[in-house]
Amino acid sequence: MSNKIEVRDFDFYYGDFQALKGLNLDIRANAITALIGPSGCGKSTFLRCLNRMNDTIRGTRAEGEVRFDGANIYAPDVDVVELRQQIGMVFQRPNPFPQSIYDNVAFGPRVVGMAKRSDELDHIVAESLQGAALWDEVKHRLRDPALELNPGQQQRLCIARTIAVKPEVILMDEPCSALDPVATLSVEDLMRRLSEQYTIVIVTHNMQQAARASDYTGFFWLGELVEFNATESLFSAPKMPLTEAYITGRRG
Amino acid sequence: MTVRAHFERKLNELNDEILLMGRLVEDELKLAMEAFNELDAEKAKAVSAADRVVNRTRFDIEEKCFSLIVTQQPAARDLRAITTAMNIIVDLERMGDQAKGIAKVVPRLIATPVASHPPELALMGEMVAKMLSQVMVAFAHKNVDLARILANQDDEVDALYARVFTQIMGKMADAASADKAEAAYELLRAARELERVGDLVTNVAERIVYLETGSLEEINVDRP
Repeated sequence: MSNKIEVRDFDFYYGDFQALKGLNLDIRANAITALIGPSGCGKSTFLRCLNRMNDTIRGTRAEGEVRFDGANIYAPDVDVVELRQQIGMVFQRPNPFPQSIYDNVAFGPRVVGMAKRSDELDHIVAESLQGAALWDEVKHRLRDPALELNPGQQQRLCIARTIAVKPEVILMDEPCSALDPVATLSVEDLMRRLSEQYTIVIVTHNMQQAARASDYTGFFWLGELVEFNATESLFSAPKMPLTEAYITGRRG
Repeated sequence: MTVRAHFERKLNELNDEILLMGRLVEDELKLAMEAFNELDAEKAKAVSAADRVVNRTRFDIEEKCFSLIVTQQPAARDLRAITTAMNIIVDLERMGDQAKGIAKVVPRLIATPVASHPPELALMGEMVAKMLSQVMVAFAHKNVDLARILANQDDEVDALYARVFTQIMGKMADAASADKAEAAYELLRAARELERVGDLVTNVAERIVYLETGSLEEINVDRP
């Protein structure tokens, strides 16, 4: 399996505060990589570094490299808008736009100019909703307001919105923390299906979710990557005592 | 008490119960060997009762393991401790079954005595009893080195079994009657049960290594 993203000697600062320290890891293509660790350990910061979302925060600074398909995304000539199209993000709280279901999914493709004709756009919307396992539930009510959907459906709508612009990587920042167990499982099922086509990186506070839904897991502590391994190995026989202590609930 | 402290107390209790189950199986095996060496029908009967206690203990411990998995969703060493427990209790329970198998031979040998038992048989009994007791010590102290030594000792048990086998084959070939040949075969069955106990001790030893190192390895691979 090839690497989609390679992180090399990566440091990140909020002003004087160093939030990420000397990170080195590989994100495998078409796999689900989970990032775990206590609040404030840097895992969400790291996730947001993967599509330069932190650029929007003033006073931040990155050093080292994040290579996406071999090219450093922090190189000066990188088009950040295009980068975020290729590396999309799904957030903690479902955040559909106050528009129709259809318009939510069509938003990105319209901005990017992906569809020349309306039937092409219809096709992208249908395909994305199918990809997000939402189509059957909404196909007869595409013009209804997105905010009328339940939270689980809203989150899948946000995933549909993300995949509508045909990204290669999907970043998910605690995508299930606002969902009930049934909706959580449906999102996890969806992640598994999406990983056939996309590379997924997920930040989660839920250790069971990382264990059951990911292929690789990275454990962050105070801005450092303490351990990175196949999920099965990390949860059954972690190599580092700190990982052991955290996942068994002795530290954190 | 914090949730973690409560869980640790439960894990310690689990540990103690496995040690206790080990003691029960040691006693059962000792009783079976006494019944066998002394051809004592009463002791042989008592083995069955002892085995029922062992079986019940196994299910009790297994239920506690399930309950810990469901309520604590363990990971890492905690998970290994529980899966190790679940494996060890099965091995111990089977050792109890082997002991019962030895006791079953006793009435048949009383009915049709064999002139002399191969001396290696008693030796095998002593050896596996000692290995069992030592492997429980290794479990109590989570001593990987001792576990590895014990797993390798199984070779000596196998060597003794090979010698018993040859002698009993000779006895069966020379037997004056079908009854005598069958009685000699009963001795072989007892030897076979002891040989299996040695294998099961090796399994327990492998689980101790897994618990401590996280790596599943076959310590004593059968050599050709």
